[in-house]
Amino acid sequence: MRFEYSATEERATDAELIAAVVGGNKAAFAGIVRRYEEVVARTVIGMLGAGDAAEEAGQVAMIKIYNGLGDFRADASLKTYVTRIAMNTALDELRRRKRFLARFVSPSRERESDVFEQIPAHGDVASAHERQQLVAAALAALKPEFRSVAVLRLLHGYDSGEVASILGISDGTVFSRLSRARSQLKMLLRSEDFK
Amino acid sequence: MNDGRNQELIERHLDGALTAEEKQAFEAKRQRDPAFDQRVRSDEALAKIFEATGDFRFESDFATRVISRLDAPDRSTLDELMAMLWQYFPRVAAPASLLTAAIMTSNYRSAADGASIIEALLGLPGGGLVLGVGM
Repeated sequence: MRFEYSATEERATDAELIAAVVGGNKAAFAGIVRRYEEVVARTVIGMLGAGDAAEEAGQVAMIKIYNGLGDFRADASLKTYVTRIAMNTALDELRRRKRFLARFVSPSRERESDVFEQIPAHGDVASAHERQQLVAAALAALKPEFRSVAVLRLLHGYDSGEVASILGISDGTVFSRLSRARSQLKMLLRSEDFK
Repeated sequence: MNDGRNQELIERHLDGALTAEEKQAFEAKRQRDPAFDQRVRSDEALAKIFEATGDFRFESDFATRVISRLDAPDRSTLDELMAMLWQYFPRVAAPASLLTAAIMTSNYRSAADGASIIEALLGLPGGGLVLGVGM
């Protein structure tokens, strides 16, 4: 059954949609999914790269959000809450992959060949899709703790305080990780490719 | 000034959040420190690259797939259990196979003359398998 987007849903505030969902209205949750799909996609694709794993993480994140809406407090924005859930889901997937790779794949192979080979050859980058691919590949070269701050700060545009709050770390840690993340990303991405 | 503090200033500059006094000090630092100035320029360029990535989306009808899944039985626990079994299977099966092969080899070598192959491998006494009463 396809859930159609209604004009009522489009006008409803987050609080109204949440109240409807908590009251048992699944169609209202479809409204929340559509409203925040881009936020979740930006987070999980930034962390995991485009593909089935990101789609799965996106769905799992949305289900966690659905299950947690009954306890959601309006002291944080729904966007921040959604981002936090999506980020934690992506980090869980990265930890799961790390455990799997630690058992079956040599660490040097995982770090060097798989990751850097994903970065397309430099050249003119015409479309937003190509930019996304380059950016996602560069992000994939970062360790998860640097990738997460880069995704939140650079892809989402959260300020450092919001990044610290979402990740549960101090401001100082955010700045030091951002510094490392930016250094690595600058080596991998060249602004002349993005004219 | 440590790197974290430098990065904090740059991030606040990128957010347009420096006070007038801080902005003055920041620009003075850029003027007297070319390496810092270059770092700020490259961070500004990196920010522009990320701003130009456009919207991120899943395949169409993502909401429908999510809502359908809300009604489906929760497979996550079962999937995790299966994944764990697959993870540990090589660790258990391989040593168990090697141990069994070693025991069978030892049994075969020390088997009595006239014992069948099965009796030899299983380390059973020669002279026929005793399967039960009346055999």
